[in-house]
Amino acid sequence: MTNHYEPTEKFVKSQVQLRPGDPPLIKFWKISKFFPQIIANNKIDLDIFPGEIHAIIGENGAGKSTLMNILSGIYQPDEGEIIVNGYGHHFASPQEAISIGIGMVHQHFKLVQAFTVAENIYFGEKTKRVFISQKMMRQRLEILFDQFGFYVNPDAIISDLSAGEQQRVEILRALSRKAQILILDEPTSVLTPKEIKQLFVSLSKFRQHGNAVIFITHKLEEVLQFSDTVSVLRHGQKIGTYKTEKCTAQFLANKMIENDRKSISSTLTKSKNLYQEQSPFIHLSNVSVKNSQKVTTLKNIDLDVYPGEILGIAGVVGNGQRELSQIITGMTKPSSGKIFLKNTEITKPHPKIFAKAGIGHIPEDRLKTALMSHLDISHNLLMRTYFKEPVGSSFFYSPRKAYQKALNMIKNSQIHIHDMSSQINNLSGGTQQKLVSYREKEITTSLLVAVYPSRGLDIGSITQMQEYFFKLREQNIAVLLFSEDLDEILTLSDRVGVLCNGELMGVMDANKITQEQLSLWIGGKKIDPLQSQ
Amino acid sequence: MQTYIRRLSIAPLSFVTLYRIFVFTIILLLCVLTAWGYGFHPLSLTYMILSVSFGTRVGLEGILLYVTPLLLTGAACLLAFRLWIVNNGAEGQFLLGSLMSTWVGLHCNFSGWLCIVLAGLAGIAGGVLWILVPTLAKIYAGVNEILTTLMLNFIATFIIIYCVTGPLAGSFTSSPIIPIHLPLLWGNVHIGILIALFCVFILAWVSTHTKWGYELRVCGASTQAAHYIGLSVNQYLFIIMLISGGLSGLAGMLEVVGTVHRLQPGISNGLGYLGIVVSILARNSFLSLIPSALLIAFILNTSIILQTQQLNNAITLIITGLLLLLIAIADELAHYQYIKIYPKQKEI
Repeated sequence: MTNHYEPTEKFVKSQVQLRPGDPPLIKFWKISKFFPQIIANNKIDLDIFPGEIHAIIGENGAGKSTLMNILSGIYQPDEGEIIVNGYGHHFASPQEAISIGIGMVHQHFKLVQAFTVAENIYFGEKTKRVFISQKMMRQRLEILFDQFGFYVNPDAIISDLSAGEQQRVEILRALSRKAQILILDEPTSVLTPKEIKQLFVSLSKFRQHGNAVIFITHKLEEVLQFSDTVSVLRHGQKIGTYKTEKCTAQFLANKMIENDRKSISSTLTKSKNLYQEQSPFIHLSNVSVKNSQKVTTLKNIDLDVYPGEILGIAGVVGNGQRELSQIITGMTKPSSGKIFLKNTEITKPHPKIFAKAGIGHIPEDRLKTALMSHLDISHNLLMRTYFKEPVGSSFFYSPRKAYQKALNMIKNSQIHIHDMSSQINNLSGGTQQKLVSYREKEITTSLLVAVYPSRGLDIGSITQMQEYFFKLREQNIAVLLFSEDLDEILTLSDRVGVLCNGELMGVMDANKITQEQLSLWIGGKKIDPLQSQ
Repeated sequence: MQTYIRRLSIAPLSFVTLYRIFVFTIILLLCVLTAWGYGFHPLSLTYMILSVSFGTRVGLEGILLYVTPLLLTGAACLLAFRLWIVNNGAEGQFLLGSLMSTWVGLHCNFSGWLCIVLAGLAGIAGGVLWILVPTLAKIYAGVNEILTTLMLNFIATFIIIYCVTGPLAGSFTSSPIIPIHLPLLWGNVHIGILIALFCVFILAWVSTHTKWGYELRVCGASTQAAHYIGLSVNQYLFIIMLISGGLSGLAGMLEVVGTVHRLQPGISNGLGYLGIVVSILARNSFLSLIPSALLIAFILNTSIILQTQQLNNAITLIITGLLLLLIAIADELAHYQYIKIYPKQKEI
């Protein structure tokens, strides 16, 4: 039964023939969206035609998600209009967008885990009926299955399904509400290669009915393989829309990444490559990590970090950055491989050993990992030093001195806080971030592991933070910088490494690395730079 | 003008106090109405209860004797709750503590202090033993402690019944009177109340003024944050649960050696379960255990006074149950704030 609907057809390019003058299904007309300090979308014009699979690519923060959130009614544009069937629309809520036939499948599925597939699909549907029988839901589902070639067992509980199946449920839910345009936000990030193929075969069937698919992605290969049209966004602006047949990976990668980085990097003084004369501070040898589901999240990493360098790790989020940062701070134990700190092997990694060795850690999820959201500021500021004089000792802890020390820290760090007794989760994200980095400063004597440190900060604070990284480098302290912003990585780093699918694609000097090389590594293509030249 | 309700993450103390006073008033009114229905004059009954409880030696002694075990079981539940553990098993730990100390008391050939100390250690050991299985099950198999601790209460009850009719049988369904006694302070009030107060003060001090107390707060606040600075939550879980069991066991020992002097099936008298009520009333502060234990002790003592008036003492069960329910509602309501927003007035 389950294989009954397994798509056997191959993925086919669009067969819907458009005549000249056929109107687009959707027209974005000068859409702009402003956030404080940031222009997320700047006068974007985009046409989506019936029967096409339209890929939207761009770096993190290029404005892809914002644009799609505007289309699906989550955000309202500050300028411009969305024109559907010749009429301008302003979607005040996702419900309005759905009623016009726009369905969105989010990267993180919004399903009720304890409900069955059928219940999830018809949950929240606008209907005049008070009751809806299981039988009827199933009948209506069968029609959908036949029409689009999707199949999921209607009686299965969501939490028992794989990620691919859950995604199919999300898509079916959009289809059951008569979606004409399906928006998929990074649909392939959770799927296996086989599931990816199935997904696009089904999508190609969907668009044969004259519907359109928009998908957001980072992966150039999928764009080239499955889309008909591709639009590139960069820094909130549309760079261009191209027919996929005429594109190459190189071409798209160049369009995605900005070209003016050299002007920035020349103004900053890079270190004089002194670091390589010293022995590495931390050395990973063939380190692999498996998560609780026995999936390998880091594969055979070999990495040296030298004192006095800034090593930037680039790559799309979720390709092993979290695991690598946790290995280097002792929070995760490697499943195989060895870790050396100053040439001595660490046989039993433990966060305390790494903290004692002077490794500071600004983790990705600051509120959950680095802070205690329901405790006050002094508790949070003393997490690293509560056992040290004058606040504490090997036995005692003085709340009064802790408060005084926290007060001093706040004064010195120039973080604006009105009420010392307020809970951490009542502070803004930027303030939380500043508190964590200031606290980690105190224990950082050899290496700072900073994971997405500029997230949630305004421009002024980012500059401050970057200056701080340079100051650390002058003191012969290493910085391991994880970032999703290539500009940031290339501006700050002495060496750049790229993670893709848990593999370290390579590490190169930042001066020597080319954009093409970087973008290919990020896309998962491992080509020896010497050979390609 | 717009009005809406928002939920505060911390309930302001003033709100909590107000709501609680409101709850106590409701409960008092209910009691008075019930008594009225039975044909008592409400005011004279209230006067009688208050004058007997606080105006006579017997009344005060009764309250203080109830406070002793309530403080300890309350502390046991409160301590476990610091790591979000619900120790429903204070009752069972109490019983095992009393059983072990009775056994030591009956078989101890030394005299005086040494025997009392041994009985105390045996009581603590009994409580620890009784929470050890739920603790290990929680740490190694992830078994929810709410159920396991609760189930073990019933087993403990039957073990006591078996012991007082079998190996430790004395007169009718109770053990023989044990030869050791705790020194008396005032009338029937024994030194146990000082021990209980000492435990509460020590816990209050340790949890605020030691490194260990800080680490405990970190573990309770966030497992991830604890891991981040290199603390093992399971280690603290283990220690905390054992101490919690030990405190309940100690309460059982004090009850046997100090007050009842023999083991009998109903010895725990719900004092373990009431520990949960006491700890919830105390709102996560060890020092507040003292007023909350006093309140519950007063209610328990009232039931005895009511019995002398031929009123059913089931009323106290209803009162404590109702109290817990209404306090839980009141504490939640105290988080909500009613806000009015006035539109900005245009300058003229």
